[in-house]
Amino acid sequence: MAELNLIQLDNEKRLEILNKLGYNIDEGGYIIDILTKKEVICKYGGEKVHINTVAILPGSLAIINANPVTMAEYFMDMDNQDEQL
Amino acid sequence: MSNYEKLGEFGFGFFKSFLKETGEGIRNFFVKYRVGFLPEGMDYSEYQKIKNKTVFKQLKFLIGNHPTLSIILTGLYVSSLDKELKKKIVEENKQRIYNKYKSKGVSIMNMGATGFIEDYVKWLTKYNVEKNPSQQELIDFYEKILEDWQERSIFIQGFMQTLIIISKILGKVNVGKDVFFLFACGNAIKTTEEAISEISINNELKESGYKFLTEKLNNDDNERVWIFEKKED
Repeated sequence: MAELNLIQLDNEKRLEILNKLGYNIDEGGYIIDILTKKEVICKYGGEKVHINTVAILPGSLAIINANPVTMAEYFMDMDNQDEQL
Repeated sequence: MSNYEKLGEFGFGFFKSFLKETGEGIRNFFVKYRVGFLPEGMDYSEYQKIKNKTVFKQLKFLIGNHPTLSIILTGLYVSSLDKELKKKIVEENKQRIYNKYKSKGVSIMNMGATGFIEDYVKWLTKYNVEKNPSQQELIDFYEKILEDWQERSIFIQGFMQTLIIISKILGKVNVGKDVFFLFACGNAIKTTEEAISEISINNELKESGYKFLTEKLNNDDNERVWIFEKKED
């Protein structure tokens, strides 16, 4: 897998990025799809994604709760995708 | 502090150019530059290095794309951290890992916290060479060890006396565990060596068909593991 560039940004700047991608946060700080108003669910942890932990990652544009487990799962997913190409 | 100072030239450049993107360009940006954004204070760049380490590649060679590989990656990451951070990360993620990976996942995290994953892979490689199992047989063996790692592990505390250690080792021998692991650090290493020496002199291990080897943990002379294995003749 080619190296990823992972840049740390504060909540405000990640929210700017999410807004451009069509997402916002609800009053609880959870990420929602602006069009459907539905909460975004982390594909790895199965939990609602919170602004304090949200990571926006390349690939199938993953919006996930970043923690040591989900990040490892993401990296392995990317490896598997690369192997299949 | 300005955004530029906080992000550095590289990060600031990406962030600014991202915000200039519109429409489809926004999504393409992520793919083209393979860039991602994380919360402040989170740094997972170590994962990319661990994936390129021999230990990780070797395990992947042995067990293929096994579902636990991501937890192995997490475990190796945990083992590279200092003691306090190790403990914190294991505690924070134990339930999450159990929910998804059950006892196998928790065992890997515990191995990571102990610094044992590298030695486990090394030992599994040796087992593979000696026994030459099929990949599925090796995977079954790998999973079997993880499923009851707790049952197969003895942690020697500094206050334990030789006789206690001997009884703990013989307890595993008497139930016929095919493989078990004994961990000791600091002063407990000397007492453990004395205990093993005593049962070796009495031939109790040999008569029960056990052999053992010992390795340093975390490249530290003050942390050791002994691996006891029942050999089939």
